Amino acid sequence: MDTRRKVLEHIKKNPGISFRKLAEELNLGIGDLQYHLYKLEKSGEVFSRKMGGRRYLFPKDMEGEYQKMLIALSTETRRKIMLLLAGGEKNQSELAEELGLTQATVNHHMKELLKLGIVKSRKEGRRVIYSLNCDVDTMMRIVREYRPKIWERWAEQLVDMLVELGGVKDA
Amino acid sequence: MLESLNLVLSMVVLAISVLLAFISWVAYRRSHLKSALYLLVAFLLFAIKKVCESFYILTSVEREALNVTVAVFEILILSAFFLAIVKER
Repeated sequence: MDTRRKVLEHIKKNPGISFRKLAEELNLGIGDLQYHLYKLEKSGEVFSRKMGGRRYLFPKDMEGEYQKMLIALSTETRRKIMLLLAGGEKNQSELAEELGLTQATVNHHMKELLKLGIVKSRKEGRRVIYSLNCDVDTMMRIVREYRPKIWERWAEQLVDMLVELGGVKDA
Repeated sequence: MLESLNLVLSMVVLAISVLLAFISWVAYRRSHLKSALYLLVAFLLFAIKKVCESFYILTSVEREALNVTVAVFEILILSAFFLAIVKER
């Protein structure tokens, strides 16, 4: 029971920690940790999501917020945008220039990030300045561990290509 | 000899189209872009068309019926590609 409480406390202190990292930091065996996580998920104290070949763990009480962050981080361009914004606020043309993308593509991704509430914007004259509106530590923790599988990278490239072609998100 | 080579090549084409359909599906799940959905449909139709064509090599389906089926599939595939490019610009 003590171990389970330790696991829960560690996840609460480090939301978005990966399964592998949690096992490492708490010095727990895989089977042991799997058992405690199963119990914690069943009791509704923790939830986990698989992304890019890693299982990320979050405290249940902030599920909505973290779900949005995972959606935002699920494509390469958005990850890059969020990493750039983690370094300070930027406008659309700065983002487009640093990413080597068209303004239309950046605009599409920014609309999605704004809709998710992960990014906020403010007007400064004629320019729109973007900044992050999420827990930066959690975001960085997820990005550091993120290792997409080869087909996930291809899917991300396909999404970017379709956005360049002019597709607009449906949902 | 040529017939078995044809069959092997058809299997390779089928595998590639299924892989592309899978990538389109992953892309759609992540982005909800309708274009990705049309691509998924196009690649799946392409895979089905290939199965129909390979079926012809293995059995003795009437040639005319196969030609019509393949032509219908080709129209559907091209329409799906067209929609993937132009839809929701």
